[in-house]
Amino acid sequence: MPNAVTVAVGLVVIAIIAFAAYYAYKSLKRGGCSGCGCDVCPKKDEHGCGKRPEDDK
Amino acid sequence: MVTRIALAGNPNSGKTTMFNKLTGSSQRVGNWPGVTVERKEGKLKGEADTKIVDLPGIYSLSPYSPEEIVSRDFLLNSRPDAVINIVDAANLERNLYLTTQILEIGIPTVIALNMMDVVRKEGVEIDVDKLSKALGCKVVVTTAIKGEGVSELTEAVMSVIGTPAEDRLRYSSDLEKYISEMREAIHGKIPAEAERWYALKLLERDEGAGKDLDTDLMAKAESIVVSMEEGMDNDADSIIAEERYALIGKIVDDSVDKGDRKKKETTSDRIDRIVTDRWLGLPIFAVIMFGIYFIAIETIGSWGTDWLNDYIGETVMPATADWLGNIGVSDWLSGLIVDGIIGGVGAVIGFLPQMLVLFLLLVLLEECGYMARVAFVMDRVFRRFGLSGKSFIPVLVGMGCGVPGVMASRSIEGESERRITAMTVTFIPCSAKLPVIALIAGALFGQSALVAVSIYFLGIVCVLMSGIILKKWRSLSGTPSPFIMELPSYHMPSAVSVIKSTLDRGWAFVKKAGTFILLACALVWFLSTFDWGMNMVDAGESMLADIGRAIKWIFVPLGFGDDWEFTVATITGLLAKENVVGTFGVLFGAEEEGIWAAIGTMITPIAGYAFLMFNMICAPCFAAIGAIRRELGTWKDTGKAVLYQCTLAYVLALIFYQFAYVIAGYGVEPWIVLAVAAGAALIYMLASKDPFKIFRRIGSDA
Repeated sequence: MPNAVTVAVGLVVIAIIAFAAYYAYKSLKRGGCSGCGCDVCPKKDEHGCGKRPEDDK
Repeated sequence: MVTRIALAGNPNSGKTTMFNKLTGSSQRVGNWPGVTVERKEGKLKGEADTKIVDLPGIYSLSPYSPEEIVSRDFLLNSRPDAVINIVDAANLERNLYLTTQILEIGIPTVIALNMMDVVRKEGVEIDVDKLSKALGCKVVVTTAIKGEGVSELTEAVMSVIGTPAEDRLRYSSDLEKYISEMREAIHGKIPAEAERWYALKLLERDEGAGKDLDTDLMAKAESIVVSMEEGMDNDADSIIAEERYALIGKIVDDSVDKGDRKKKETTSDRIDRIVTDRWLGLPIFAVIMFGIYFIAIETIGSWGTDWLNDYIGETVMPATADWLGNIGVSDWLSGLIVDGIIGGVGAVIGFLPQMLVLFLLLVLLEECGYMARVAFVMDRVFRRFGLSGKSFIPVLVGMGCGVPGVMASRSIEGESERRITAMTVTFIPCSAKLPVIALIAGALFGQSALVAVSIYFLGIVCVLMSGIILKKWRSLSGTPSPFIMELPSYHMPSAVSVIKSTLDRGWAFVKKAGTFILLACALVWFLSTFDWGMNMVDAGESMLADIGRAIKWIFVPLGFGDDWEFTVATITGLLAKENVVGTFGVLFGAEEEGIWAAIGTMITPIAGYAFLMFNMICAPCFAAIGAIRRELGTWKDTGKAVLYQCTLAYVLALIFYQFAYVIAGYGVEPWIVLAVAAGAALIYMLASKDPFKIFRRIGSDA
């Protein structure tokens, strides 16, 4: 059985990994945005990625 | 109710800079056309209910290019409450060509006479009141980059909202007669306020303008056009264009005192004579790129990276391991945190100083106006290979990240050229690839900047080769699009903008490392720590090693297939290129000496360079593949593009490794036969007029 400290630290690590996975999933779902900054992105304010208006339809 | 103000103007007139000033946002400003591919929206500072819509840069309201269509549709169909027309005061005549068309739409308009600092320097004086009276709208003097006139512009545009637009522009009496006739014919069929614009467009035989009109009315319109052509003895297009330029010429003569401008050669002109020279332009660009990589990779950037790598590897990792051990955390969890997460992510983050220096230098080149010259110089080169300077703009954008690079290909009018550019723009090393280049350069080439420069130019060569090869594929054949580009005057970049842009890109890199790369490193650690029975083992006996060994034979002819580590790094690099470094970080430790020493003992410099070539040219990261899919339209075509990229990467790395192996005196490998065959096939593809006929024959036989 892992000790309490291991469980606590493990939960923190799981939370970090879960956040990273959520962010990655959200970015990819938004149209392939890799979090690159996409400063030429035409819809930066709305999506934070390079999705075109017609992709919304 | 939300008020909408459109921002319209020629490419490079400073629209996006003005948009940022008006809204307080930080959209990317580029010194080349196509940065605003589609419209962008933001709220006007201090006016919560007022939206500013930044339209793509255009030269006219004709429906020829994607940018013109976006702008024209918005102005005509969405009818914003007001228009701010950004006019480059230094190129007044050409900019007013669009202005006359915007004014005819009948929307209240304010003109921002931008870049007035440049005009003043040239000794030119513009009588703003006369210009305003002649055009029938308010004119505000601005210098967007310095924020001059922005508040006056805001006040002026807010004051015209809700007021009727003035209709003051008048052409020759001959043309006015036909305009009246046309207006009479279409009266009641189109919005009254835009009647004059529609009348002029119908006189130009603009098909888009008449698409909602019935056949009888179009026949009537055509008869008016024919009588105008007969009466004015010219074709319709030329009549309207000549009348517009005559009117603009008169307005400019009345309101502008050019002083001795014509006699003077500006500093920009003098610099351009050298940097855009037919013979010197390209070598100068090569030297500048070498200088950039020399500073970023070999000197200043590498000092920061050396320090950060050592700090992570020699201080952060041992300290974290000690602390986790002291508080009683299990060994496997400590391993995940220290070797997996800190080791993997730390190996990538360690390159941040080099990235920041590179970003800073690239931003400086963009902002001062040099990169626009590079697109001009490259137009000459690209045109010889069936592409145009328009294809080089996505290449420039792609140096930051492949995703916007692929997206930037959207501004290319020619279908085939656009698709080829979208398929090949990721050959250029993006910021994610830089850590891989820096790693191989550091481990095997003494941090030489030549490695990065050679990979950069290899990317350009691959784009050009692909232009030749893919144009021969029937569905991708076509002539290069015309490339019209205004070269902005050189100017001192704004410190705030340069620092902000550099930090934005750096932050995006850190964000990606802390999310995508962290996730991949945790997975790599798991696969490299456990065997199939879930027992903790050495990396060499892990699941990852088994996977690597099962497929490493593919890379044996390229020189890096003997060690499974290089195979798995290549595979994880398909998710995001930084993962190549992250994987080595997990397997060999984050500190520089650990990775460098391990790579240095495992492969030769030749094999290392082949590894680099393959990883730089093969399929890009998932995000870029997604962007390519959006540009090409189908997964089938995207699959073909990825297959093409991987095949080209394999062929080039194979040819390089096998021939370099012989030249370096290591002997001859049996794979040389494959390399010779691949080289012959590549030459055939480049030289033959129709290299794909064999595929068509096979297809028709089947």
